[in-house]
Amino acid sequence: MIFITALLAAFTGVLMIILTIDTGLGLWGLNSSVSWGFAITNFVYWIGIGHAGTLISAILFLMRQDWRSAFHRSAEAMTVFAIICAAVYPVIHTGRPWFAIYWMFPFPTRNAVWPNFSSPLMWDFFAIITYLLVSIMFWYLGMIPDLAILRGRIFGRVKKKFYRILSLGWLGTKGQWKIYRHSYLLLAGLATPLVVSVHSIVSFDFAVSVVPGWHSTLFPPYFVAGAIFSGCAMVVILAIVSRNYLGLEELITTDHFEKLNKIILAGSLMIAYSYVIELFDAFVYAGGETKLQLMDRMTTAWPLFTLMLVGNILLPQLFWSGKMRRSIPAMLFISIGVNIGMWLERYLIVISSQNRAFMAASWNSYMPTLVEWLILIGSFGIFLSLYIIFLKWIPIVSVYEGLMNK
Amino acid sequence: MKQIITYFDDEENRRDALTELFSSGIVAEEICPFGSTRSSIKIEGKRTVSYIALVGAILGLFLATLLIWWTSSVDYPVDAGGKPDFSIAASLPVLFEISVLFAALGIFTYFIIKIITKKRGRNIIKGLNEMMLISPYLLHITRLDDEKVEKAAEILEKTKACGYEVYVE
Repeated sequence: MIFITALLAAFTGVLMIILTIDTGLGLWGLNSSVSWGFAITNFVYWIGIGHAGTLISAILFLMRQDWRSAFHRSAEAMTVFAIICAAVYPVIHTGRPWFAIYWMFPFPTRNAVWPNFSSPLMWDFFAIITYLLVSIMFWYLGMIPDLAILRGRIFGRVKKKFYRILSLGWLGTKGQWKIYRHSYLLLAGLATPLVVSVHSIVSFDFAVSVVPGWHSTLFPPYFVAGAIFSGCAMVVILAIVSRNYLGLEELITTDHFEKLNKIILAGSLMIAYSYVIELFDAFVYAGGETKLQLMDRMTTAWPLFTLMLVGNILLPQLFWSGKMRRSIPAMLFISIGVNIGMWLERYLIVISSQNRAFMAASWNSYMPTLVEWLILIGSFGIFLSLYIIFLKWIPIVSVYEGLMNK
Repeated sequence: MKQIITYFDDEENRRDALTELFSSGIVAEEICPFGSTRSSIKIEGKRTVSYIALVGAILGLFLATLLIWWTSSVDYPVDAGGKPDFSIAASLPVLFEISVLFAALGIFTYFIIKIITKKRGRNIIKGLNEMMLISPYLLHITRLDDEKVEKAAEILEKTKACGYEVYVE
């Protein structure tokens, strides 16, 4: 039932994307002031979701945190699927995606002009491509021993062939394990700085501009903290769903959730600190347009601003209580709240800064259209469909690591 | 030449068998389908893969620098408000990302090549897959002539191997 709903949502989203490409960006609520709109909000949100995967997998692996084995496989899958969802937005946002290859790839246009490598949009392109490829490699490498275990235990010709091809003839000899451990450790080491770099680079799209509310050195750490925070909350949601759906209560325990919830709590505090610094910057240091812009965010858009504070700051404080950290319904509720809060944060950053820029004459309002909403719902559909397919074919908890830790 | 696949009840018996086989000049390899404890497989020996990562990173850095410098300074320099055609500071994000990507691609390619190129007979893989279902403590004994097969069988019986099969290479 969930899968069919997800597929339907994905299908609707794809249909709306085709309609947008065919008709043009006039179908969206964009105007001369708010040119980034919903698409870039969703792009930043999905990239953020994709961050927790590598954090949980690579950083916790380097820190020898064995409890990561309960989450890392699903978190890595989440990363890959979230980046796929994110990558759709900048491409369709160009309005003419068939030209995007000229604008993005290092490929000269018909006037022999190359892409501008000093542009943050180009930095973004390279950051996302690198993060996607390294995440896929890291994810796949971690799965090989499990795919080999499945190869010997699964029945059915198609499935057997699938696992045989993907396991690459892995047997688990001492030599193979040695290369595996070296490679996995090094990939984890390489993926770790990417966690910081990718969202920092995404934040440069905003920070290196002169738009009030964006032009701040706070943005890179603010974005990275937010990404890890929302990503961990999404891991909790997915882990709860998979745990109940597959009956993995013994493998994904409340102890595991408790540790992840502590990271969410830390993330919430970092976000709270960023909000305070943002206010301090606007009211004490920057003043002028930045102050007006922030005032507008807190007054005109106060319902969204309040909801954002509730989701990002207030709700996670419940995790100070050990009982809340171990209660499945509570953590599900809080994690959904965090995700709504973090999406609203991106919405407010992108929209409110653009519709109240320097010149009052260019002030404009923005309202997303139905097509934009359906594309957002579609991206959730694509994400969920891919995740459910992954649940069906790949063990979401690392089998060999579980046995090894025992 | 012949090969033997055998399995044991526990790690200790397998280790004893391995020691005896080595001292008799017989080549054997442990098969650990579920991994092994960290102490038994340490990160040791030649770190070829680390050097490959380093070479990949340097190559990525060099190629990315060359690409950015050539496109913006040589092929089509654009004068944007007197800014330099090529600036290291503005190129750092791309240089960093490409270096990391090439290092990761180097590691991954090396790993895949090492795993795929060591071919084993289909019957051997099938036999190993079947034995894995019984026990995770397996040994793969290779390069055996008739005399060594007898010697290996003797050692395996002595070290309490649960069962073994002989294959012709």
